[in-house]
This record gives sequence, structure tokens and C-alpha cells, in this order.
Amino acid sequence: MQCKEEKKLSELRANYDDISIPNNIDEFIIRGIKKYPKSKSIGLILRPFSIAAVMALFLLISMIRISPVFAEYLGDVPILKYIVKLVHYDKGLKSAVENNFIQNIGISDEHENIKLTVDNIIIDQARMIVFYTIENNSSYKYLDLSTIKFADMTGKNLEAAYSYSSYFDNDDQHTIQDNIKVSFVENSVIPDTIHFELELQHNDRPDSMTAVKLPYLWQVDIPIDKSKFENLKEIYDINQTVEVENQKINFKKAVIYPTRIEIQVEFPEENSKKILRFDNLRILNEKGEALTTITNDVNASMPDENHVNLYFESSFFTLPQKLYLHGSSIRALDKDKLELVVDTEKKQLLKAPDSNIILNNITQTAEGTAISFLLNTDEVLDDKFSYFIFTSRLTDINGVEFVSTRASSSGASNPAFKQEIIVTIPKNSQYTDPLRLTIEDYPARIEEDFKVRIK
Amino acid sequence: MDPLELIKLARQGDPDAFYNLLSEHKIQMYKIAYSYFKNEQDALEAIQETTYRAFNNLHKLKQQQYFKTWLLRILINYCIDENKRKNKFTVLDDTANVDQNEAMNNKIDLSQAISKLNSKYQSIIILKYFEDLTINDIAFIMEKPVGTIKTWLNKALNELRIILGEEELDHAMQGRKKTIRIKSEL
Repeated sequence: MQCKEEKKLSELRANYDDISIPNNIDEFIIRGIKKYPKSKSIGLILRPFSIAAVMALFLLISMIRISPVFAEYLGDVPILKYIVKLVHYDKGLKSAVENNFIQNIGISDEHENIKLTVDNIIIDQARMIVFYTIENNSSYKYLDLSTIKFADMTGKNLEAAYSYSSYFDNDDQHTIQDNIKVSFVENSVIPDTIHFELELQHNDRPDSMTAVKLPYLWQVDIPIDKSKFENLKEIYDINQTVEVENQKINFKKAVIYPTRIEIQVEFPEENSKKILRFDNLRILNEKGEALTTITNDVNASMPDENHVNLYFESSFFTLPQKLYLHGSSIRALDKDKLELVVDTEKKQLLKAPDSNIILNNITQTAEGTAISFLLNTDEVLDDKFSYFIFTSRLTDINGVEFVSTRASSSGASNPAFKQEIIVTIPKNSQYTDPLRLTIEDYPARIEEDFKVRIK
Repeated sequence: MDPLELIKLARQGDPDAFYNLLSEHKIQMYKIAYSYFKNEQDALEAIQETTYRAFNNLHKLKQQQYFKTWLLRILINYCIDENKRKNKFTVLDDTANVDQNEAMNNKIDLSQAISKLNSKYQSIIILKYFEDLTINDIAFIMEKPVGTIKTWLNKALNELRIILGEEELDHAMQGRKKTIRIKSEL
């Protein structure tokens, strides 16, 4: 009996061999490769020491998917249509567009049949969102942004962080419509004209990793109508202290700009723990509608060790009657546990905050000495979140400072741990064991509900 | 370039090396995925997801000479999970639609019978009879001892026979000629 089934199976085999192979398999392989993140965290925190370097700070974010229902909205206003699509994920920006808080620009620059047009901008004292179109009538098959610069008319770079998407995997490579988000450093002076420079790269296939830069500079001078946003902000004094597990958090002030809400927070010096991050802080209005942390752009800044400014979607145009800040989980660590000490020679972890982190191995790679740690994270709260844990600076026993590179990956070879973090000390660094690494984020939590009235 | 060299580069994060590595196996991956899903879109998505998972976990591959079987393991695990997920929501194809087409021969019945097997038996049949893999390779892919695979293979064939037998009965009750033909061949 059985050999008959086997015989029939080999007949069926002919069908299997005849399965037609689609010619776009490669595209899906490339998409799979591109999905592999170079860095997984989307939020970015501006620190004071990084301000000088902020001009060179870029965030590559994944393509934004668009809800078709919302895309229908305002469908008969062609110029606004793609803008609405691009901001639909941010309730504040969406209502800014709906309230016509947008400046028309319409200035272009063209090289070798590739035309860049800055169509519109949304700008206030806090952020600028630049909506642009690239029309590609050249022979280059796949185009992508290479470098971006925003400056004043004297050529001085703006103090700001930029974030933008790669569009190598856009289906339409002829007309690309997208945006660049610019987050200004607080109290920076916005010039009357912003000089925007762009370089592009091209490739024969949708892959930015082996792309070649084009030898042109696309430049647009963007005139800014500052009267449209000057003094457009609401300020609310909160001045309330929340106490969770004996740790005090002072919520001081809320500043509501058209493009974002800024919540100023202070952590008193006497706290025994350092507050690292808020897990799920959100702002609710009187109807219970939530405004969440800014995504795909800078979501916080830290003026100093004891202060943080958190950024949320804006309620500026929706005019809520009441606003409350809600939270229930905070990542925090005892101040005397904020470092990790490792002896690379003996391959020993001499100090760690708790047993959720272990030393995995230390290897010599082409880049230098790679120290691998395994970290246990929360199944629910840390799902899809990659910790980097350490600041990039580490010191040896003599206090000599090194700048390391950090990589984090989900999944680790040891099933008891969920993430692997690799800190690499550059090749030829002269250091003396043990090494001291500073912890800036860690999956240790205070879980307690709190609620603060803003307005 | 030598596959082992490509693996080494890919492990260091070189996307081109990984792309070249996968190009070698793309047709095989597609056919296997297609046999699970019976449609192009799902099969292509399986390739995308497998590529991602493999690139992401390449550092865990201990014996690099097993890259291909390791890759197929990831693919098959994806297909099995995805099928499980889908079956929760979709009604399986109405076999009547297929039967209407008298021109289709009994190969359809067998292929349907295979899709009625549980996922592990289904995998074994595809790998053994369509991909011509050895029992050893299948054991590696399915992460089971060789003995278990042999047992499963026998059980899979037995189940196929039972499913086909039941179908014959169904068809006979509805008085279809086609089934009689199957019966005579089995």
C-alpha cells in the first residue's frame, strides 16, 4: 500500500517542479534584508553634549504606512493630499494641516533631469516639517537621500536634529513625495530664510547600502513667514510632584506648540534612584482621547542630569477643555547601580545592577574588542524594544575615556535572555582593566499609576 | 564567492553577501513556501520574512555548512506558524469547486490530501518527495532525531492513504466517476 502512495507522490512531483517562479523574488529578499535594523530604537533623546554634533545627527526611519481611509480625506485638494497622508500618524500635525497651519513654498532645483521641489512646510518655534517632491526623469533607477543640510543664509548649520525616511523601496521611483522632520534645539533662533541642501544617491536595485552618490547639490532657499507662528504657544504651569516608591518627580510646566507639546520634568537630587525613562506616559483630554509620545522624530531632550523635556503630539488646534498626564510604569535604577564594571582580561563582570544582565563573551573582531552582554527584558513592556543600556563613553581604571560603538539585537543564543548587547572598543585602544560602563537605560521598573492635571 | 566566505561576510552585517547567499536558494524557498500557501503573495511574504529572520539570527548558526538546511528550517517554521494563524480565520477551500473541473486529474486530490495533513507531516512529505532531501537533512530541519522522522514519514504516508480513502468514500456517495479512477490506481 505504502509504495503506491510513494509512487503517486513522485508523479505529483512533476507539478511541484512546474511551480512558476515569479520574477520579483529578489525584491522580497531585499526587503527582508532591509528590514534588518541597523538600530532599532526610533525615539531619540537630545543631550546637552550632543548639541554641537546635532547638525550631523540623522535618523533613518522606516517607511510610514498610510491608512487608505484617511487618505481619502481632503482628497480633492491635490496639493494637500500627500501631506495629509504623511502626517496622519501624528494627531497634532494632522490637525495643523486641517487648520491650514502650513506655508506654501513651491521652489525647485534641478540637475540632470532630477527635480527637487520644496512644496510646503509646517513650522513653529519647536519643529519644522519640510514636504518635498522629487521627480526623477533621469536614467537612474533607484534614488535615495544621501546627505541633508539646513543652514541660515550665512551658511551656519541650524541647531537641530533631522529625521527622514529612506525610499529606495518605494514602488514609484518616478515621483517621490515625502517629508523631513527638523527638531530645533530649544530657544534657537529661526532665520527668515532657511537654506536647504540635498545630495542624492542612486543604485541599480533598491538597496541603500551599496548606493553611489550623485555629483550634484540640490539647493532651495526656503522663505519663512515667522509671523505665522510667532507667539503661537500656550504655557501651563503644572508644578505638581508625583511620588512613586519614595522617588519624587516634579512636573513643572507644559508648553503647547502647534507641532508638539513639551512637558518639563525635574527629578530632585535627593531621589535615591535615577529615573531613566517613562514607559507609557500619555496625555488624555476630557473625552479620554490620548496624545502619545512623538514617534519617528526626537521625543525628548535632557538639559541636564536632573531635567528632561518630553515631547507629545499637540492639542493646539483641537482646543481641549482639560488635559491630564497619565503614567503607570517608570524605568529607574538606584543611583549607586548606574555602572557596570567588567574585567576584559579575566572575562569577569565585577559589578552589575542585578542578575538580569550577564557577560556573554569577549571577542576580538575587525573593529576591536567586542564585549557581549546578555540582557533579560520584560516580555510585555519591552516587546519589540531594543535596549542599548550604556552611554557610548566608557572609562578604564585610570579614568581614560574611550568612545565605544554599541549594538543591540533581539534574541540571544542563551534562551534565558532576550537581548544581546555588544559594546565594541575600537582597535588599538590602550586601556587598563577593569572597564567602567555608564548605564543610561535599564529594564528595572517602578510600576505605579499616577495622574497629573495639566489644564 | 565561496558560500562559507559569504556567510562570514554576512555575519558581519554585509547585506550584499547575504543577498548573494540567498539567491542560491530562492527558487527552492519559493517552491516550498508555495506548496504551503498555494498562492504567490503568501509565498513571497514567506521569503521576505525568512530572509529577515535568517539575517537577524545568522550569528546563531553554529555549523556554517548547514546554512541551507538551517534556512529551510526557518522557512518551514514560518510556513507552519502562518498556516496555523490563517486557519483560525479562513475556511478551507471548498473541494467542490475543484471537483467541478473534470479535466483536473487525481493529482489534485493527492495534493489536497497533503494539505490536510498536520503541518509536520506535510513538511516531511514536501521535503522528502519534492525536494529530495535526505532523512538526515529533514531531521536537522525539523530538529528531531532521525528515528522520529522515519516514524513520522510512515505515519504521514498512512494518513495520506486514510484521507484519500475517505475522499473516495465521499466521492462515491456523490456518484463521481473520478473517484473510481483514483481507487483503481491506489
